[in-house]
Amino acid sequence: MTQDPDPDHQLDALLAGLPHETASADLIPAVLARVAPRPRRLTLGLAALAAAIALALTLVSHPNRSREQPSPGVDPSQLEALTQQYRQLASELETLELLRAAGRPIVYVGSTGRADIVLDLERLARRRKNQGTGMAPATFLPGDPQP
Amino acid sequence: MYAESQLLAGPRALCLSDSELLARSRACDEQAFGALIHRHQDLVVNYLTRMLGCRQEAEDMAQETFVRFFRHLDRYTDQGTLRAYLLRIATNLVRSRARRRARWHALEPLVRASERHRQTACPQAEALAGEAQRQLLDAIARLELRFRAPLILREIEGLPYRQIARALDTNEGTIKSRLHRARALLKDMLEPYWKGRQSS
Repeated sequence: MTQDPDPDHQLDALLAGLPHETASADLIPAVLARVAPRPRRLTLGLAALAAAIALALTLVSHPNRSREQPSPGVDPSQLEALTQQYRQLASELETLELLRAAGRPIVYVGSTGRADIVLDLERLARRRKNQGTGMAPATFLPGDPQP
Repeated sequence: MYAESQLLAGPRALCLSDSELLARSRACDEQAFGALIHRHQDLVVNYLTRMLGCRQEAEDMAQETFVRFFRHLDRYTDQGTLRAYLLRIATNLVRSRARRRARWHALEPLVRASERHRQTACPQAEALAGEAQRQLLDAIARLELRFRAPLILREIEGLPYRQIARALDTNEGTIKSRLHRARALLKDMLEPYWKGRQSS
């Protein structure tokens, strides 16, 4: 490099001489893999999942209650709605169990914009195992086929 | 997902304007979004490499830049400023990183030691053309973010002041002032090296 006493010229020459970095060939596939829709992108929120687990646990701990006749004060349409909700949540739980069994224990739930929120099914299963219950609901509602 | 070769084999997507590619990306056209990344990835990677001083970290942050852009596609109002918009996301990520590091102030000596170690271990740092460039990159790395960003965007990327102002969310006057200051700081930092070289 020639010795140029003008600092501005020297700086310009140095800046112009910096190599231009280019992206690696992996960048596009990596980004697309991260933004691609999941095979089953669950819209189920964490709160709904927690509700499902709570409901399943409640029903497990009171297996006979569901067979009892509704008390006169209970609105039949309300009961029907709850039953439907229960079945939907049970189905979601079953799906989660299937995903875990298929070796896909991490489920994408959503994003805060700064961080992804995921559900670790293995961890959840371990916790539930420690509490002595399985993933699948083990009770029946009126109308379910009895074993 | 598709490979780079498939993307390059589809020149139609590459011929579309940013606006058209954006519209298709919003309709979940993966190939269109891939073409958008392809168009702007080198700018983002080069900018982040100079901002962070490490090629690998820059690549990771560039990936995050495009992922965030995709997740908030609806927020971008297309006014032909996509380049500036992407650079703004990248700059915000760099700022967040700086803030995170500031929180670890108590561990700064350790962090700096590991950073120095990582940067010298970075293959790109080893491959730099020579001592003069090493001195320059070291001086750039020591600049505050508010001076470093406009310097890189103007002097290395060659962006017009208007786009730099948009990317950094400020006005052109501030950019010019910071650029002037950045150059003065760089010259001060490089002066000992230049003088030493002349006397040797």
